[in-house]
Amino acid sequence: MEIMNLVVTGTLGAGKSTFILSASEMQVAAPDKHNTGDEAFFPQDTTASIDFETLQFDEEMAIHIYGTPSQVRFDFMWEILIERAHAYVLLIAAHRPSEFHYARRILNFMNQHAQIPMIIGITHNDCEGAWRPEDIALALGYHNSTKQPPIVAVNTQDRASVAMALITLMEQCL
Amino acid sequence: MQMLAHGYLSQYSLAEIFNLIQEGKKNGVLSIEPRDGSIDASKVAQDSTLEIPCYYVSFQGGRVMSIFYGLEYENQDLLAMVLERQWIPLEQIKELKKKLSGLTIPWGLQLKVWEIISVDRLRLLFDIQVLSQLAKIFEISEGKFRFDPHAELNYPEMTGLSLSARNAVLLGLRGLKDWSRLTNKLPAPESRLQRASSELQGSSLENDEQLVWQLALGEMSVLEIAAQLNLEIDKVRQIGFRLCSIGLTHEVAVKPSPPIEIVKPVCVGGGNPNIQISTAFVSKLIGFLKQQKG
Repeated sequence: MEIMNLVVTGTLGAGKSTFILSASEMQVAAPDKHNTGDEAFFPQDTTASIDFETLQFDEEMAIHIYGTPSQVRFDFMWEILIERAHAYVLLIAAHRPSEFHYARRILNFMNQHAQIPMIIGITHNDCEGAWRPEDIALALGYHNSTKQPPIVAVNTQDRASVAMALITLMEQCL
Repeated sequence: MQMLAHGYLSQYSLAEIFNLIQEGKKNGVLSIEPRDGSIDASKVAQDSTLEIPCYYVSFQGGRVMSIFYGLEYENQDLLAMVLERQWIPLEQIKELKKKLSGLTIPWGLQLKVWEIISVDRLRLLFDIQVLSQLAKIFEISEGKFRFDPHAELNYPEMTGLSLSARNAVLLGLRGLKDWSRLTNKLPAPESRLQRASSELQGSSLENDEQLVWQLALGEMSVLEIAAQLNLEIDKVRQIGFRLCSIGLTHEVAVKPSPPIEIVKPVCVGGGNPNIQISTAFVSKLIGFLKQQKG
């Protein structure tokens, strides 16, 4: 079985869990997760508060999708996740500018631990007070649009939108 | 690129907003409506039509051109400041006003070109208009902000002198007395500071700031830098925040050691990141996802 480890991280209320759920629901026949759980980073009885779902799209191919812990401080679980990841998605809620600073910290942390394909998904674009993606990019420290990772708008509740975001991410892997 | 950002200072600090404007080299007007002790909140609640004086900061190419505080942004005039200081007689002011109206360059600059006002006097007006106001706006603890890239620049109030938003942040934050609302944004004591570049990018650093910047090599924690420089940890965190705010350094969070009673989860398999995902895998997945998006 060829497995890709995908990490979904992001700011408070950005929709990490919903994104992961929407992605896992894409498979035609959802497998029993316990059948694949023994291949996960963490044992079944772990008390780790992380989201974990699988997306098996072929008999011999699957993605394991992990959500980062919700606490603000980075700990060893973050390190385990990112060091074993093949790619990651950073979700940011556009209407919560107070969280942009934290998003920048996540980026710094991730960059320090792994240089892997990634995209930034902007959620809650239709909420009042939402910032435009290009302004969020500036807030994250990307001054030059040619040097920034792909930034896409995502509706985490919409499978098609999540699929689109994942396509953008996969294109980074090619 | 246009930006119409708005929000509350409790969500996004003024330093971050200025940095954003500098990085984007934005033109426009940032209005800041204080909602702290300087305004009687109960009066505002009772009377929704009550006008609240605002600060209006004009930016051109990411540089601070002028700051005005009052009810209305329009109709501000550099000549009023000149008249107040009796540098030019009233009759001449009236004539100049006619000649200047409609010009789309800072009036101060034009007055200098006409040799009606000296550079020293322009600098004084700029100090009054901008530098003295900066300390006040960075003291605002609660308030709403709005950046309007479509707002017309008010040339009649501009001297033609300007200050980079980066240096404006430095000046504003240096004068800040109450850091309590920024506590959760300061670099953590165990975090490391990493220089963003090997140059100061035109920033005028004070001695302590320069010393911290020199040690920001990503190797020492904020705590260790404080010990090495014999400075209080709070002071180094504040300096670190200033340097991060103007993009000279960034904070690198370091994971704390796990508590001894927690058993590190055991990796029991899963995809091995050392094994590259095959192109066939990615291609097949893209095909699958394209079907999903319909």
